[in-house]
Amino acid sequence: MDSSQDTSDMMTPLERLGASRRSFLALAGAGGGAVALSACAGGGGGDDSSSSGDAADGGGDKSDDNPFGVKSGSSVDVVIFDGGYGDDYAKDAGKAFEKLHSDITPKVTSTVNIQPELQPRFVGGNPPDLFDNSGAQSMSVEALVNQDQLADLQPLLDAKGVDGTAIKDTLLPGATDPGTYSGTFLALNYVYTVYAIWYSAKQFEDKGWSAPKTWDDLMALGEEAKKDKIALFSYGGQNASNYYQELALTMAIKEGGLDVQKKLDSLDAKAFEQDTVVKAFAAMEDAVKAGFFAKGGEGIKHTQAQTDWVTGKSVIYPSGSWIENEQREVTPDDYEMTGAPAPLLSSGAKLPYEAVHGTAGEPFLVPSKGKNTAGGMEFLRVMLSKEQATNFTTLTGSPTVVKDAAPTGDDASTALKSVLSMIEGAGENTFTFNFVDWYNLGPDTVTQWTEFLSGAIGADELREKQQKMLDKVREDDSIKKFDVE
Amino acid sequence: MVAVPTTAPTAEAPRSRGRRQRLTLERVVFFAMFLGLPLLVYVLFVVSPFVQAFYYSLTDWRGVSASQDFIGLKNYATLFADDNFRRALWHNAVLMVVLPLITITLAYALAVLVTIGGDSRGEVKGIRGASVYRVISFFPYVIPAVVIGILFAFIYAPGGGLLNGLLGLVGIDSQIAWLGDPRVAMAAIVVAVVWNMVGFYMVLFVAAIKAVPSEVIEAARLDGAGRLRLSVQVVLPMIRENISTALVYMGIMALDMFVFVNVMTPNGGTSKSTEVVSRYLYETAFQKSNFGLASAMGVVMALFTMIMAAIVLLSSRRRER
Repeated sequence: MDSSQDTSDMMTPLERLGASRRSFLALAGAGGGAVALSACAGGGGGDDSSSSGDAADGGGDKSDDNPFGVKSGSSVDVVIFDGGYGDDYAKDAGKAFEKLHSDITPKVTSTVNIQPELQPRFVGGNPPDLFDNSGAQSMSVEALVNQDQLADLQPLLDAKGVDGTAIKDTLLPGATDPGTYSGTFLALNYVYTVYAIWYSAKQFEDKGWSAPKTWDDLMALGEEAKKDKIALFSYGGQNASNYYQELALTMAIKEGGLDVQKKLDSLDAKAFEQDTVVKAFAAMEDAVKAGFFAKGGEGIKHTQAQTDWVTGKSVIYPSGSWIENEQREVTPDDYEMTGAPAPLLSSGAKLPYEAVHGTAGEPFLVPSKGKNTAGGMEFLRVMLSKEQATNFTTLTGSPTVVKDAAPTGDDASTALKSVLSMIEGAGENTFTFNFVDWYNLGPDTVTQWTEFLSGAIGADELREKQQKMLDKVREDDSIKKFDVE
Repeated sequence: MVAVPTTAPTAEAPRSRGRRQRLTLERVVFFAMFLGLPLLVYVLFVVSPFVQAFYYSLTDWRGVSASQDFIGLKNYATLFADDNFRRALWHNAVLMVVLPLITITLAYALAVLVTIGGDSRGEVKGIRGASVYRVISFFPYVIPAVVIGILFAFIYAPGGGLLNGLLGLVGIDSQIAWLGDPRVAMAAIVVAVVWNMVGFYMVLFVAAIKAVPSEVIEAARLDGAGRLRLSVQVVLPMIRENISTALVYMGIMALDMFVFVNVMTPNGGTSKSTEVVSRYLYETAFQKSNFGLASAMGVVMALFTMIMAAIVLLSSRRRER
């Protein structure tokens, strides 16, 4: 892999394991039996020797149709998370792969339990060639990166796509940001997600409301909703109150520009004391105090909160563009779910209203110790073809990171249409922040934000707690920190 | 003065000891089958994972590769500096006292009602319909814990939940989000657990009370003991063994609680109000992939359990003496 990582880590994993056993012996003294056992415990798997050679070189003949030289007669082991997007898209990609390479066999399997099924394979040294790290039971990417388990996917970006253009030129702006760890591109996030505030276009039309462009508009809308005896926001305090953290930070970044995001992602000691963050959190507190959040949200999960929202108990729900797919079963047919960019805090905002928190999700990873890493990348190359990307959107209603690949027929839903128009409107003005995902801060964030949204603590106390959470990560040497550009 | 009766047994004793020492093939096979094999299985599947976990707790193993660095007791230092962990441990400790106390008191009271709680004149019997109650109260125990967690999450739901609805019927306009409010969330979970377990212990105690000789109960009644006195001062001491077994089992359950807490309050509750060690361990290991740290939590928990078991055993042994 990248040379900077090699120098920072002088010992091979095997040497490190040996050293750790020796020091354990010295400490344990008579406990020899325990050492013998521990040796089989962690050691187990064979392939400790660091992967030599280039992950993007399969050793076979290279051509435009096979830029990574995947060996003929080999097979590619692909594991898909069978969640909200199903696994049909991957099976279709498998068929396209076979058409392109009749002599290579893709083996596409799917599971809902990524972590329990793949973790033993990583420890045992026989991980798959490509996997979709998603769902409630996904693997910690921070741990995988820390342990050098992921292949650099830069060659994939540089390679020519199936359609003839270099892959990196076919992707939406910002698509590779969330998968880039300290400058190394390790995860291809396939699905493009736009964070927005979501509402029923039908309800808005009936009431004569319009999508709020500023926070004041939103508060005025809250008063309107109050007159109708409904709440402005629903929230699932048991597990998803962090959706409002997303909204608050998005507003803060739109107000103060990308520096705000950089301070957050670099775990700055004053990240939550930045003016615009203070402003955004204070705005949220006003909404809490005004009673705009549905009562009792601290006691329910996101599923219940979102059902309440689409059944008309509240007006607005901040979420990513997966929401339409997720709510399909319970959303009334004439709801006309539509998304709008997060409102601006003031007229002096650094970024335009159209700017969106756009990011890519559904990370596909190529384990560096896989048997056929080149095959894994080749499979991704096929998935990134326009044909497969269009197919994905048709099957799931969600846009991919591939530019202009979404079908734009009239049969597209209002939600998908609004997502596409938000992407177009934002242009280059997209941003994202990663600290929550990078350092697994989701669970802590949820409990803190639930306290806040239920009114138990104020905005200042919340910021203090959030800052403390960042400080704890920053001061913990065992956690690998990622660089922020 | 011939000590015939005393010499006979002493002559008998060495012979039997000698027989024990002879190793025939049959005896070797017997020992291998009934002692060696279970011991091997025990060492392989019980002892060795313990030792492994202890070793991992001294490393920074992340669970995604075969390599780990030895870092000594650093994980333990991290743990005890961690507010969340201390809070979780404290919750477990409180639960270990509260949960058995409530469950067993309630179970015993119910058991008394359906066995000796009936009319104090005539034959000793339970209250009317006792056999029906006995069956019904066992029902909750049959339901899996996950299902109970989900059911109670619905009951506690703030809008349109059964509990707030019932309170509304009696004129209390309750807006409490039972599982979200840090003040009541843990109590709400305890109620669900008690509901789940009380029937089982009731049945256990019913069997124990039935085994108490009826002469004793009748004699106590003739001496003028009322129902309360009968159950607390006569029957209770006689089924002490069952009660202490039940206490140990409930104590073990209180140290776990993973299913209930994880289903009802997925992230350990608002401001970690319902966090317990097992759930926090799960988060640390399987979400944050910090297996070294999680193993240290497991070791702390195991030590905690052992200390508690030792205390219970010692105190009951002293009483026997």
